[in-house]
Amino acid sequence: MSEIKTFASNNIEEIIAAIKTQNTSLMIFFYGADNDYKQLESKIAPHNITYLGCMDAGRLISGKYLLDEKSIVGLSFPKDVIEDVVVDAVDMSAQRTNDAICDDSHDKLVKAAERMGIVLARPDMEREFAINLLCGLNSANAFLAGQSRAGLMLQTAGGSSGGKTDFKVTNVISSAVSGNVGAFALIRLTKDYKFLLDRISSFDKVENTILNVTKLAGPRHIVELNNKPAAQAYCEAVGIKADELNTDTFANYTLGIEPGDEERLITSIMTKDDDSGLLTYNDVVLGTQFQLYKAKSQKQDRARGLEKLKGKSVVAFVSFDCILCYLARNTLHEVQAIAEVYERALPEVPKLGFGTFSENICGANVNQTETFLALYKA
Amino acid sequence: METRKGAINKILHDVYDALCNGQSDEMKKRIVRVQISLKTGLNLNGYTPQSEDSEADIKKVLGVIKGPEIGLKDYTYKP
Repeated sequence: MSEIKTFASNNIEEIIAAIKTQNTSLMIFFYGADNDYKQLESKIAPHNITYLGCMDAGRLISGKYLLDEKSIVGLSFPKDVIEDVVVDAVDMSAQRTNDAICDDSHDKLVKAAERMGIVLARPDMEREFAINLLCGLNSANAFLAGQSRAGLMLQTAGGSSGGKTDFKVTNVISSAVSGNVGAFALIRLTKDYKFLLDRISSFDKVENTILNVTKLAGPRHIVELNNKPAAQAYCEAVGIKADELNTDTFANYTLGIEPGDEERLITSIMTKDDDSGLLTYNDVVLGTQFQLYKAKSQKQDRARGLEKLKGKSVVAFVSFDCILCYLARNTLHEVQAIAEVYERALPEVPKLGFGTFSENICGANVNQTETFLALYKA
Repeated sequence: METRKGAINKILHDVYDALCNGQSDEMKKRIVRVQISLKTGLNLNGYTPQSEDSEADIKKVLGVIKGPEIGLKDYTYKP
């Protein structure tokens, strides 16, 4: 049996040489913001690989986080694990409408499923799934809505690409199309393997703080919460004065909704607008009943989240972990401590991940969360 | 404000019956709940067989389950 392999380097050719075999089915790459995606593409092209990847602001490889802007990490899956895969991509450039992105995402997933013989209405819930790497300069919601329309029960996980903190340049690469695109890999595992997708966030509920969205100026622009200026209502819920509001407040006190069974779909606040409204990192619908949450250390929740994998013979772990979680770890000096949480829970398991500018799981775009994919022996 | 006791809980169970039989029921139920929460903005954990659900919230949930993602166009709520 061939192995699942990971490797990190500043040189993509070194990575491919280290992880590619004659038996490789799919490769995933995450790269720092100093890498030119066209150069990466041109170096990958001669190897005739099915792949996807994206720019990020930090990445995970077994045992450590790389927070520089030069390095690249790669992971290869052999055909013994991935029986069949189709990679395709949707143009997500700024001039495209949400409807066009949604339709394209729907049509390309349907086409990929037809090519693989996957019945999207009834996918194999243990062996068929998709990984999404989406251009972080555009909202992921339209892309995800298209996928949900194509096959609600197809499980998906992934994240949106990042880069430098000025957030002017980011991109996605794939064996289909690269650039400002959303790429997906539709995957069927061999009968010897299964998968598990899940999400982890680290917040305590602030009791009795429901903030109803009563006025919006756009999908990411909240004007009023509980019929009051949004910033005022938020400050009252947090328990601070308006002039004390700053970026740390937004990092520490976030919003979310609860679909049930302790699930939390987090929407983070980016900043205050020029008046008294709030801008968010995620699309919001009018009438949303936001719960307020307070951030806490990630160590315990990460360890608890990984307990779901206990007793399973995990062979690979892919992490799509919010860049805000990366930054929080830096602030709390927990970077290595969290990397070790993963090593303790999944010793010697190949791991790969990146700092996302929003994460997705099963049609939902979320913030300040890690979504993950684990493959294990059946 | 008009309310109906346990309506949203009943609608959720009707959707589970329609979409979630067979393998991995819990994951399928989770996907349904996430989709409804996302599209309505409602916290679904508050809707029980005893809760008094507003007509406005019921209308939102019905709109989503008949929409393009869940696709139960012909669904009719029967208490």
